[in-house]
Amino acid sequence: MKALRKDWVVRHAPWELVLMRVLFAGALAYSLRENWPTFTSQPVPHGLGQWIDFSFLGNPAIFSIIEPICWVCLGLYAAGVFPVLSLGFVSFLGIGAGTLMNSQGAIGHTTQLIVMVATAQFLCYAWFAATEKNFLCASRNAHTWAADWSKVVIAAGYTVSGLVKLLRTDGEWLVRSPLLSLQLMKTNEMDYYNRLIEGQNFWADTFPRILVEQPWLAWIIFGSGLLLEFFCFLAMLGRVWALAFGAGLIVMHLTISKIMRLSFEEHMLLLLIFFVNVPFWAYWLAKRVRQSLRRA
Amino acid sequence: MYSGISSKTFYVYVQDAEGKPLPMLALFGVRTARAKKIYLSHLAEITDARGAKSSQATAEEERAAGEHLLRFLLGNMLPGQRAELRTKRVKLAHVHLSYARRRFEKKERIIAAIDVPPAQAKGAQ
Repeated sequence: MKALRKDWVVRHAPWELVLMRVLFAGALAYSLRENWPTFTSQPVPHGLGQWIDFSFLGNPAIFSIIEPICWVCLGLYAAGVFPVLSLGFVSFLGIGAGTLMNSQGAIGHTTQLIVMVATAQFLCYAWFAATEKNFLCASRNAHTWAADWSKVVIAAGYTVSGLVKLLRTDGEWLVRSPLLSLQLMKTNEMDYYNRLIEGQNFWADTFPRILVEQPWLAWIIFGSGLLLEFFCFLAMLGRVWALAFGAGLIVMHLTISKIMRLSFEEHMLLLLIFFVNVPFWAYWLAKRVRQSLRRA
Repeated sequence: MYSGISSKTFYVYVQDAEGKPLPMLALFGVRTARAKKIYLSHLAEITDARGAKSSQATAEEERAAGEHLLRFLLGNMLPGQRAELRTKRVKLAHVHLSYARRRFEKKERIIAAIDVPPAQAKGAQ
């Protein structure tokens, strides 16, 4: 229990926090560029869209002005300078772009998690800037909180996703999972109609048939995904737990993108940055190797 | 992964006047998944008005929701994409997929069609 408590809060080294910010700034830049809406109206205002008209964001002329400002803001955030202003601006844009996308009569969740993480970090920085009365440079505590709350938001997102699956199916999600083969067929065909690029017939036709004929295979594949999602909050227990859940969920996303042609790049980037945390494990491994070489 | 699991589902895609599929994302800037959601939420709005579910929609109601989606897609095209649209009429295909008695079934039908406004149909043969 003592060891568990000790490991409960991960105290990241300052260099880890810098790398996390640099990588997260890169992920945000990628996400904004890839998902920037081209819509110029809000026919069915959703969420904040009911009070704020975000349709100006769909104007290419506005985007050409906003984009370089975004790069500057993300650079400042990565350097830990003016994080309240810089990340606040990017978070607001992320929320605005997502709201505009979701105000077209249909909602999606491609950028939801990454923008939620950015907003959580912004709130941490705002809180520390107000309490420490320093808006210019964030303290180490503020950076630590930002990283910790990013992980909380990611873990909560996955756990809620697992919970919703059970609630919507009266706990029978796993039993019914062989029927997901129908969704496999659908998503493969839908992806073809996006660009008229043929996929592999095996995933669109043969594999769904195998899944309904051999339900145990569906239970293993989808069941492991459900367990990873539902128990994702355990990733908060420490670095090893975070690594295990992060790597597991990335494998789950890669499997989904292969069999359903549905990609969640932003989610994988978040898991890679905050859960898997490659720089730390590379450092840890190098340290271990050096120590054993010295002993030899 | 999907939270709701059912033994039937559907999607929609757009065809040109000759019945050839048009690339939804490349041409209209909207993914097929989003197009389906727009169609479905408009259909639900129509059927809600008479207290029915969208799954109980009549052909007329489906046509109205389908035309709404086609108008939205044409209205959302960027100038560069408009030049690529070489048809005078667009049609909305509805593909129904189901699994029953250990068999997959696929049924496709056209539920709506509208003329492309003259300004947009410049390249049409």
